[in-house]
Amino acid sequence: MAKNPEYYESLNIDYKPPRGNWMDRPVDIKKGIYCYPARPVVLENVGMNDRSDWGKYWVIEDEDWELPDDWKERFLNKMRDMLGKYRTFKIYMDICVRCGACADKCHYFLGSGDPLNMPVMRAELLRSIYRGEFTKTGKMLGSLVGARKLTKNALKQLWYYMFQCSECRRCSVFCPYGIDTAEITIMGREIMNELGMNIAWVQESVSKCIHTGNHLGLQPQAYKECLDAMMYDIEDNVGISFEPTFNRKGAEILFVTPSGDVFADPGIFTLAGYLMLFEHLGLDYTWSTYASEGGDFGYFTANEMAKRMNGKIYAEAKRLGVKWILGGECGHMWRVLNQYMTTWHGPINFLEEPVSPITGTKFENAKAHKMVHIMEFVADLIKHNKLKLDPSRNDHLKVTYHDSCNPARAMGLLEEPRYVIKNVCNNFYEMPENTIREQTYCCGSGSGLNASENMELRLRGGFPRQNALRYVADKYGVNMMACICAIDRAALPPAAQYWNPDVGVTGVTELVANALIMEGEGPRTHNLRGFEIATWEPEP
Amino acid sequence: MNLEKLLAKKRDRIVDKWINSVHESYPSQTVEFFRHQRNKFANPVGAEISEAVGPLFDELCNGNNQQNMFSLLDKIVRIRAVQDFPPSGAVAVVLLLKKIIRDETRKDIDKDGFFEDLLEFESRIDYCVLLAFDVYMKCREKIWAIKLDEFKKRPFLVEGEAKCLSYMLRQEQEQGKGTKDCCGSCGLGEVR
Repeated sequence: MAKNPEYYESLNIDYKPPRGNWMDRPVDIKKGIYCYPARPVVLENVGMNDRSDWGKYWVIEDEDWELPDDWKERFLNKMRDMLGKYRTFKIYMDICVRCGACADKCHYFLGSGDPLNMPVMRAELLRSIYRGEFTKTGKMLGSLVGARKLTKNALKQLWYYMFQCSECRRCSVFCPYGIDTAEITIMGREIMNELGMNIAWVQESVSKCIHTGNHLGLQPQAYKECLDAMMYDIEDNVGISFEPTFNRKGAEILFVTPSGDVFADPGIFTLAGYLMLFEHLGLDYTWSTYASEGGDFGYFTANEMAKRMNGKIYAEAKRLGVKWILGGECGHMWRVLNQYMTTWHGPINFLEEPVSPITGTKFENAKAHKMVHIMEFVADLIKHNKLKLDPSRNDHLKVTYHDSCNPARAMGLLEEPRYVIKNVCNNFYEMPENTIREQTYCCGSGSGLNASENMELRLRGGFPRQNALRYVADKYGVNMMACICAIDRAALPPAAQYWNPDVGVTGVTELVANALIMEGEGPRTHNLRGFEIATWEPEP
Repeated sequence: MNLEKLLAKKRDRIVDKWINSVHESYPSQTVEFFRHQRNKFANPVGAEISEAVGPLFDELCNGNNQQNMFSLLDKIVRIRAVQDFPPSGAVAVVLLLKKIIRDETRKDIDKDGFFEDLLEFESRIDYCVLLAFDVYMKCREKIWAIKLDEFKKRPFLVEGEAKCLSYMLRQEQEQGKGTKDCCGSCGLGEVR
């Protein structure tokens, strides 16, 4: 038997993936990776194409996506429009030299090993159609110059991968031409809206935000009730009771934060932090139940929708007659403000240049959009010794800081959160250099991809971040990751449950509030999560 | 020379081959990247594979300690459980070693007692595959637990009508206005 060659050959276990040109390969759409399609009713609600004019169903795992007869014209007309309208799009379609600098920078590529998740390749899915349908060389030379015609398979491929990009822009940091790959995703998604091909997680939020003011669809009374519930918790744990105001005309400051913090754990503790901090400062501010959302899911589906949702914040600021706006811990809200808002709505002349009423600091960086980030505001307070802090209350925590993508890369907010954390915690440890600051890894669930049905995508996309987290958890015993984004606070806990079950997630303002010594406070035996401070352990 | 000594002598070569064959279960462009990027934070999957495979081989040769093997397998299988592999592909990393060992020991197979040693070693590999399956199931069950947890926390709860999305889609379709897509896979239908 020993000499029987069959014994040796009987073991041909082969999981090598097929070779060949990606353009011709049929796309293999997998459960756990894609998000559910948007319900027609939520598209109709906001005046977007709800597929009803060809009245067909769309089942993602079906071979036939039942597109309208003129699907190709619709797609190409929209693309032509956008190429004419947005110069960036045209430039990004033309100038990539495929140097590959971005190729290995995407967390989805690193986590999945799927080459079509390299940012260059994901863009190439659209760029190849651009070449094949819009350029002479592409039309003549075809695949020789990386061009292809728009086919149903190409469309499927495009849809599948455009919703595997979290628009975090890590790849753009490395592009020598400065191509903003996130914008290519934005354009790709908007083009596919023509065929009603968008996802539920984004469109449900958009529809709710347009109608009730926030992504969660919290009606004004529910919004107030959520804050009231937090007030009870603050009374229990801090021994102080007070009443925040809502929709108050004539307040100096309007405070806007993502609605995720109003409802979802652990963001609600960050919300409690805001409430305590503002009460402690005696700030003349108000909450709004209409501009009750800092986030802008419109930004994940179409430019016009993003503009519409962003405008709501300013309309409310005008209605209430506030002087300036203070913004909470949110991610893409800050990209929208810093990079799009003034283009959409022009200079905001009805508001004043923000000045901190406590320290007198002028926030010149917020001159255009009149909105100050809570971390800038708090760092300024600490710098001027305006807060009494007891960092030892956070001594049970070994904290690391996850630079949330948009505040870091689209706003340059790198030092302020670190400065704040170091003042409210005694144990702070940085993750490795190439995973923080401008090079920070995405949580894996940005740009409307934090649905539950695509959990495998989220977990593998979150792996590079979690891998760096695991390193500091093993080396220094880090047990808490701080961040300044509501999507992070929703997405990092499940990712940590899978990769780093001993690490919890917190907003920075929660840490501030726990360390904050408030006038008239009771004995602070419990932190905001209701755990005894000395024995507190993060939730598994 | 018995199998144990031969494997000890060829250890580095076998481990390299094993790492390579695990890499090769990924598309070719990715394999290039796994091989060349040495920074473990820039190449987390490649690094995990390289860090786990060597010690796993040593454990198979010497220790055969179930707990150690489990935690080493966890490093690789936990990643593959969320990648595009079928379940068999996720655990097949261990079986790849069988072929490598057979190729490497082909010349010595006729020596006294060698074949029995090989059979015994292959049984260890088989056992290791079963452990890999345990790891895989543990990971998959965790994923479902996380999904379920999220469904329970979904904002739909706020609206008073707590339903899973696929249920809502199905309901609309029954009313003739929506899509007929119900994933059926969440196993929830309706969470109340």
